[in-house]
Amino acid sequence: MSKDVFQTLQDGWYNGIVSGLGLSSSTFQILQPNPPIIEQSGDTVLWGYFNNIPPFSLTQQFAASGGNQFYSDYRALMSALEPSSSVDPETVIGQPAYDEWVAYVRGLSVFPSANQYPVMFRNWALLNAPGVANAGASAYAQVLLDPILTAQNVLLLSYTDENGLPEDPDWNLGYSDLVNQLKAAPSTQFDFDSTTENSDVSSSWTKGGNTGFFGLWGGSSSKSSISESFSENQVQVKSTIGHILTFSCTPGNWYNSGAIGLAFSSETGVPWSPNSAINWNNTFGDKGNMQRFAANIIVVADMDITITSDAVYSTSEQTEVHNNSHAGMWPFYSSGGGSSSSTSAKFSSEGHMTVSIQTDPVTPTVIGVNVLSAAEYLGHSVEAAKLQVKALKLAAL
Amino acid sequence: MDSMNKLQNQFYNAVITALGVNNQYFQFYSSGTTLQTDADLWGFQNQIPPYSLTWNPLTYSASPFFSQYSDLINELSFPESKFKSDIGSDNYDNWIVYLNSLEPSPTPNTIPNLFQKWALINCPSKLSIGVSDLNAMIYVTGGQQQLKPYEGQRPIPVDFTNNMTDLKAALNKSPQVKFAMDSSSASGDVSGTWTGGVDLNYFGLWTDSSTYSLLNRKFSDSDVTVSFTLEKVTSVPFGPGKWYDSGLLHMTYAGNTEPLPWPTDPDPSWDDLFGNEGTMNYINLATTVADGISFELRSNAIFTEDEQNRIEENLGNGIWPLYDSTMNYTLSFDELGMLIKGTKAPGNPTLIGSHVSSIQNYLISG
Repeated sequence: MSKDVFQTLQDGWYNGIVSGLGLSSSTFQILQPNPPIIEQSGDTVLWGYFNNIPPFSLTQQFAASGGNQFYSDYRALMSALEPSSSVDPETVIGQPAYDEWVAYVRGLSVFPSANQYPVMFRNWALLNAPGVANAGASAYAQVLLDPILTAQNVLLLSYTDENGLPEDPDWNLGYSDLVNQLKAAPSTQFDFDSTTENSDVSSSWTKGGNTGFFGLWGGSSSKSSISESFSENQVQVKSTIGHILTFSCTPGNWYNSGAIGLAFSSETGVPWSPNSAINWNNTFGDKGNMQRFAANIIVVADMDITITSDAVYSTSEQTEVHNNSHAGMWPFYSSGGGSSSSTSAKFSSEGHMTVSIQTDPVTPTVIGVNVLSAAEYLGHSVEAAKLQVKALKLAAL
Repeated sequence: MDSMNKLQNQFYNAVITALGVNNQYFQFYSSGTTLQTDADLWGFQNQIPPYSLTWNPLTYSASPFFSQYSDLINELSFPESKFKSDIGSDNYDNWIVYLNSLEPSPTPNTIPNLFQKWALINCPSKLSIGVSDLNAMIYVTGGQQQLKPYEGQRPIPVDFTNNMTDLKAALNKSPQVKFAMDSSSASGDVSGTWTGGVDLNYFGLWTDSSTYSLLNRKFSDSDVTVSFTLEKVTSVPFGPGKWYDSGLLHMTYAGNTEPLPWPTDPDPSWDDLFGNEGTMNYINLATTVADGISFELRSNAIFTEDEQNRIEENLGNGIWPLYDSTMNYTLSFDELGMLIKGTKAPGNPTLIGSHVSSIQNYLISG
């Protein structure tokens, strides 16, 4: 199927912004709309970008608190996994030492916490069963080091209230960190010309998939006649960006990369619980809810963008643009955010359009996100997890 | 296709172009519902849209999203009996004795951790399965706990991520939109839309009238022109409030062939909600609202005196295409046909559409 004219422009812009800002077409996704993040909404809005699971498209229409949320999905996943350690201290310690040890623990006035077991056993065994002191302590340590057990404990003890209600998620950096990093971030500038830019995005991470983008102004259809007229004619963009930053932050303590890595690295069996409806395919497979993650976001401040359109706009079309420019205009739909952004359109006597988009020097505006597949996002923990799974399967034999 | 259907499709295409919205998700809302309070707005956002280009709430109704979601989540369980059989009866009995001996009683979020340390000494080989089962139990009950404030004798409103203040602020910054449609020349091709052309649930010239009556066929077969001025119009996206849990809903959606967390004889069942005739297959993502509406509807049909009387009698019930019974209407007939004018003053934000997504795409960011 041939591309429509606006998609050709949008794909060309994708290539333009990727090369202009030194981004990678292996991961970059344009975000729309681009309201500056104001301080009052701070952390919650910022973290919303990381909590949202990105769609499979070079452009994302972002809406916070959408239908598919990372934290909520992660909690569901952790409920579907079993701690995978198959080490049984009873077998390792052997009889009669195990029964004596159990009797000793049961005789204590307070049950020891789980973390105390390895050292407690070792201290007890050095006097009572020195031959298995180290092996028994190691067995307990191995049970307690299980990443799934650890992950489930943290979720329940630190991110669940006493009635069982999930508490809000956090990330390791917040709005004030973003603003501070952005102040020190470098400037950049680049130009774009639709008549010379290549619109072939077939080698990008979606192999060309690009849907859900707006037309000429925020919220508008790319198939409207004015959007088509805009995209059929030469469009030039001159961008000066005072500060540009790739902002990374990692999920708070609720997230255990070892546990999710273990789940990702094993499609069946350990650590997936046979009792749960959640499995590898409906989590990480092609109909899964965690196929992709927002690894980091591209944030700018002090934008000064001039867009010139060679199309000829009739008087009524000029009125239409004036009436709608408040919604933000292509390619940065930066409406909202109070006085921190402005968008205006002017027309020459011949009916050509010049749009000016500006944002203030400090207020952050998110323009894109780097999307990683589950394999890439979880990659650092997968190799370790594979070794662990292998060891667990061997131990289970 | 009957002529009223064609007229409706022509109007749908005109709205798409005028509002600059996309025919891959836009649904026209025909009832002229006025929004004044958060309850009005959230009440609409809570509705499940039909698979149709036009949503006529007088001929289509479904249980609200929250109500279906809550019925579903509340019926889920991870049975205690499953935990008992997984760790063994004797272990279970001993565990319960231990649990009951604790003063004060432990809170639900601490129970898996308590089991873990208890099992380390009492049944280490059942530690993994026991902790996993207890986690699954707490997870499901956590989703149910999220619903509690919204249920019962004094429930808080089922909320979404915006309210009337946000909507009015968006309307204040919104443009005027004028558009017109002439049935003699407008395209009625809706085959490329999100429903592939399915467009149901509309009336004839006035609310509740049959599209097949002689009078209505005379109207819809005639040359019809309609022109609208919307003083302000905007679309506001929204997400569900804290009652919603995407992971838990996905678990139930994904679990159509799994025993848990679905109960043995679920009501509603997976098919009831997500099957071909399921009641939860679509979801509303954004609300389109206009404030300050005036329109003129002309038809070159020549109506008899009796027909003119019937139209006049039914004017107040609401006239195509908004079927808004709160509008002020005027009606006149002359040698050119019929002219109806309708106005609704600013200060009455009126629903005119929604943006629809399939539940699958909603849950997997498709």
